[in-house]
Order: sequence, then C-alpha cells, then structure tokens
Amino acid sequence: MPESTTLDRSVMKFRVTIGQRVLAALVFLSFLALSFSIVTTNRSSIAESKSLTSAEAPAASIIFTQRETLVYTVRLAQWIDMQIPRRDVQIARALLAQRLSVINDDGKSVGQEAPSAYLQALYVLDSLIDQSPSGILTPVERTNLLKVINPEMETLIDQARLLVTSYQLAVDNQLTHSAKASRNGDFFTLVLLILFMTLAVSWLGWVARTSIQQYRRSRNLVIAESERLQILAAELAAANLVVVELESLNASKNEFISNISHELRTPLTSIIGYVDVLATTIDFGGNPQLEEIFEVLDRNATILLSLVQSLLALSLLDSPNKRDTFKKIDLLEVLRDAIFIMDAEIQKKNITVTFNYDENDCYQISGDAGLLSQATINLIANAIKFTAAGTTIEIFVGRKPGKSLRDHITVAIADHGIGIPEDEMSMLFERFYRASNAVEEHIPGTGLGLAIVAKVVDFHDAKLSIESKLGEGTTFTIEFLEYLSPVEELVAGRKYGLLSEAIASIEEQSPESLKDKLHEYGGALAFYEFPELGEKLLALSRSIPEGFTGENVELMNQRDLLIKDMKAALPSEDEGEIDG
Amino acid sequence: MREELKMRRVTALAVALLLLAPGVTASHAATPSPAPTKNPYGASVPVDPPGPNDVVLTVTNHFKVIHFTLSTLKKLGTSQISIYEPFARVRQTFTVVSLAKIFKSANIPSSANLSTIALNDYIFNDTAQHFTDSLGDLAIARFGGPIPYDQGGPIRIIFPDKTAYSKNLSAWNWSLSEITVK
Repeated sequence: MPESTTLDRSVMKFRVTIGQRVLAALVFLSFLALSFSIVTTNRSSIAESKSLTSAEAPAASIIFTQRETLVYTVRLAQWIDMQIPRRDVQIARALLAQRLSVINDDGKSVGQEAPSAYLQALYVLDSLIDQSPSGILTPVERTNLLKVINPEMETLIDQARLLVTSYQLAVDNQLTHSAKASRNGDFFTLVLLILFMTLAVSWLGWVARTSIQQYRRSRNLVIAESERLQILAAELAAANLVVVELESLNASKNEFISNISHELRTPLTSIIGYVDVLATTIDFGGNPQLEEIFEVLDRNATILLSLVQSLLALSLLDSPNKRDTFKKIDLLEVLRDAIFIMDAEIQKKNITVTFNYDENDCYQISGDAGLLSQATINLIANAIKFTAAGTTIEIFVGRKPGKSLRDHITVAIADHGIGIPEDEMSMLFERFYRASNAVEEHIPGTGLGLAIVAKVVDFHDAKLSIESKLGEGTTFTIEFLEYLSPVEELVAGRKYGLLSEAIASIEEQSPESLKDKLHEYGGALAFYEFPELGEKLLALSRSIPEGFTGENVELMNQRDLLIKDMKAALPSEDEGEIDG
Repeated sequence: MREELKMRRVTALAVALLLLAPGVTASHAATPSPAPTKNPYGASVPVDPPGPNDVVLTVTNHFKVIHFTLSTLKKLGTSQISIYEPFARVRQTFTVVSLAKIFKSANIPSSANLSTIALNDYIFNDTAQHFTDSLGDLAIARFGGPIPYDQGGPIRIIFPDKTAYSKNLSAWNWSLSEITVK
C-alpha cells in the first residue's frame, strides 16, 4: 500500500525545479521591465507630441510675421511710388511691430527669435521713413529715397524668408531629436520584448518538456505498477491454489487422523478393558515381575488412549467447524462433571479440590459442551499432574462486568505445582511442547492438552491467560462472554440506547430546560440498571434552581462531568468480544 | 508765553505734515493708472492715434455703409472690461463697445455672415451670432488711453475670459478697420 500511495503522488504532483522557478522569476522581471519601458516610451511620445504641438504655434506666428513683412514692403513700395502717404507705411510698420511682439506658447516672441539682420533692416527703414516728409512723396524725394531704401527692402524680404527657414530648421531638429529619442525608446522596448518573449518561450518550453517527461515517467511507473500488480495477482492466484490445496491436504490429514484415531481408540479401549479384567482375575502368585508387566501394559495403553483422544479432539477443532453446535451451557455443570471424571486421580493423590462460586449467580455461556468439557478436564488433569500429593487445587467461577452489553464469566483453575518457566510461557500452547521442568521431573504427558485448551478457548472467542511462579504453582484463567437470550440482548440494547439518548439530549439542552431533562432521564436510567448515574442526574436536577439560565458555572461544570461519566458507561466499539 | 505756545503748535503741525507727506505721496504712487506699454519692436516715432472725428471703422451691410469714429462709437455706449490678453499674455483693462450694439446699429441680423477686416487686410469670417454668443466687444481704449497701432490699436475685437472665442485667437482681429456683411 505505501508503494501505491507514493506512485499516486508521483503521478498527480507536478514538480517545478529550482531552475524553472528562477527562469519564471526572470520572465516576470523582464515583463515588468517591458511594461515599464512601454509606459516610459508612451510618456515620451506624449511629451514629444506636446512639444511638436507647441512648435506649431510659432509656425503660425512666423507665417503671419512674413505676411506682415510683405504687407509692410508693399506699403513701402506704394509710398515710394507716391501712391500712399507716409502714415499708411507707418501704420503697416506698427502692425508688423505688433505681430513681432506676440508671445508664443514657448514664452518668446517672434521678434526675440528674429535674425538681427532682419531687425537691423527694419530700424534702418524706420530711420529713413522718419527722416522723410509726411504725406505723399515728391518725385525728387522719391528718387533720393529709392537708392537707399531698395537694398534695405530686399534685405528685409530675404531675412523674412530666413525666418521661415530657420523655423523649419528648428522644427526639423526637434523632429529629428524626437525621432531619435523615440527610436532609442522603441529599440530598448523591442530588446526587452524579445528578451521577455525568449525567456517566456524558454520557460514554457522547459515546463512543457518537464511535464511531458513527468507524464512519461508517471505513465511508465503506472505501467510498471500495473505489471507488478498483474504478477502479484498471478502469484496470489497461485498462492490461493496452494492454500486450497493445503486446506484440502489438511482436511485429508484431519480426516485421516480422525479415522485413525477412531480406529485406534476402539481396539485400545478393548485392550485396556481386557488388561483390567486380566489384572483383576489373574493370580500373580507372588510373581511381582508379571504384576509389573501388567501395570506397564495398563499405563502405556492408557497413555496411548489419551494421546489418540487428544489427536481426535485436535483434528475435530482443526476442521472447519460450525458454531451451529453452540447452545446455552451451564459452566458449573461442566466443571462439576470434569471434577467428577477426574475424581479417581484426585483421590489417588489425596488432593483437595475447592470449588468457589456465587450460589446466587448463574454462569451461562454459549458454546460446545463436549469441547468445553474436554478443555476443563485437560486443565484439571494438568493441575492434578503437577500438584504435589496432599495439596489443594482451587477452582473459581465468577462474573466480571464488562464494558459491553454482556458480562464476562471467568473460570480459574489454580494448582500448587512446580510452575512454568517464564520464557516458556509463549510456547506452552504449541502442539507436543512440554515445559522443560515437567520433562526433567519425569511427569508424563503428550504435550497436546494445553494445545487443545487453547483451540477450544479460541473457538469460543474467549480469552485464556496464565499466571505462574516456579515452585509455587500455576493459574489458568478463561474469560467467556456471558450468554444472553435474544430478549435479554434487546433489553440491554435498549438500556444503552437510552443512555446514548440521555447524553445527546442533556448535551444539547438549553440551561432553561436542563432541570426537567435531568429529572426525566435520571428516573429512566435508574430504572434501566444505571442506578448510580440515575441518582446523580436526579441529584443535579434537584440542585438546579427554578428559572436557571446557565449563569451558575459550577452547575454547568457538574453537568459536563456527569456527561463524561455517562459516556464512560457506554459500551466500547468492540462490544461482544473479549480483548486478547 | 502765548506766542511761544502758538509757535510750538505751528511747528508741531509742520512736522506732522512733513512726516505725513511721503506717506501720502507713496499711497498715491501705489495705485497709478497703468502707462501704455511700449512695443520693443515698434518704430522710434510712434504713429499718431486717430482723432476723435477720424473714421476708424466702416460697417457695410449690403448697400448700407456706416462710418464710425471713436466719438460715434462711444455714443453707442461703452463699458470697462478686464481680460487676459492672449497675445501679450497679461491682464489688461479695455474700454469697449459691444459688437452686439454695433450690429444692431447697422441692422445686422445674428444670422449674417460677416467679414472682419484689419488695416493690414487680415480677414476673419464668421456669423454675427458667434460673435455675440461669445460676448465679443470692440475695444476702443486700453487703461483709459488710446490703443497704439503697434499694440493692436486703435480699435480691436476682444472676447471676455471663459467664452467660446476667448481661446480662438483667429477671431481676435486687431487694428480693425471694416466689418462687412457678405
């Protein structure tokens, strides 16, 4: 089973290696870096867009400035051509000045950005205009002015053109810078993206490969386990066949021993009978040798008969018995019969047998009368054998209340013999085993008596125990389950059912109605053979005041202790069986 | 004794006046009327502002032509308005005549499509409705004095803060000379 549990875990649990965890961390970090880079790039793009947008405003101003400059030069030309008065030129110049002073989003005016040559040309023209007479020029004035004004006008127009060119250059530079910054940002983001993708794909690939490997390994393990199970199943089937064969052989052996024992017992009984007849009818005529021969013959025949009977009993116990032979047995009767049977031996050794039991009690169990008789005879015979002549054998029958529906009936047979060495106790019930001190003392025996006893005890689901002290004696104790009629079992069941019900009810009861419940179940339990518990319940009920709401902790603790006692009185899980 | 007392009183009064005099001067100087700013790119000799009877605005409503001088404009009713001047980027106080009044005086309906034309021939076209919706004004003076030509004068269109056209700089036609219904 542990192997299969390990296999299940290995199949079900996905294991991630340290390397995969490290790689997963790298994937996560690269993802964070990529996200950060994307956010930063976007922010840069927004900033660049704003920057480019702000660059558009000067563009409008520059275009207007160029326009105003052209308007101004046109007015100048018209003035030189004597078409308009000087004031119109001055107004056009004033409007150009207004345009040059307009402050853009960058906080600067076009005038501040204008080339110095442009402004210089303007101021030269201003000077020429100021020095000229107001109104419309005369032809002479025109001729004089024309020579000096034309170059300045050309300079102004050229410089106005440069305004746009320089602005275009500035914007181009800004665009180039933006493109460069954007390209750098994009390149970095791309590198991070490639890194992230590479790491992620590597990680996924690694994990997938590991998963496939684990799956294959698990599948192989499952296949191997399956094959192993098939082999085990085959071995089990073979073993079952062997078991069946062995059981068959054992049954044959038992049958053989049973038959042989039967066949041997009949002539042996006859031989023993005739030996007895001869021993009592023949006059040995003072031939002690012949008398001894008869005694040896009688003793060995008796031993042989005992051995045959023991073998017969064991073969019967080994066979698949059925307990339908069980019936109600009075143990006192069985023991009295056994004592009676062994009476000759008891008398022979001048042994006193004390038989103790409660005359008012009834010791009934469910069992096989023959087997029980055999077991008790064996135990009493052993006690007689190992007890010194003139001493006492004590037989005790009693009742032990068990934690079950039924009581235990105990039979103890104690001798004051040689005792059993402690290290041999465990082997005492093996067939043909004899205690070393018994062999040394030349105490006869077949080594089958206690084996039969153990078998009989086991057959009755009883418990056999030994207490022994070398040189002081041995006590064999058998603990049987008491016999109960179906009606008695029903009553016992009801008894414990009521107890369980009382526990559950008192446990769940609210403090307000605890007094009544304790009174109710106290009376009932006292009636159903739990007088002590019943009395305790009634006493607690009496001590609880009317209108109790659980505020008295002491009373509630008493209730808990009582519930504990009630639970302790319930039968254990192994109800109906004897430990051991 | 009496003369001495009188002398002391006169002296104390003179000292008090002397002490108070700088304070009075200072408090007077603290709230001067803002002098017109000089355009750094203007000509050294400024253009004379138009006289009160010089035509500064011509409004043409098809066959009807109205010539406005600063005086006739003032007669339409003026008011003071302080706005954020978007070209100089400072707050300035203007004396204005609402465009609504001018349109009304020329019988220009709100649905009329107008061209506003500047002295430098800059033209901005829009409906009368849009001008009046944004509470457009014609500024005829700034800080109580004439608006110089090199600062958008002598008359110019302005819009109060937080109106639809307060940020539409194309509509802020400076050195306005004509309004024509198309």
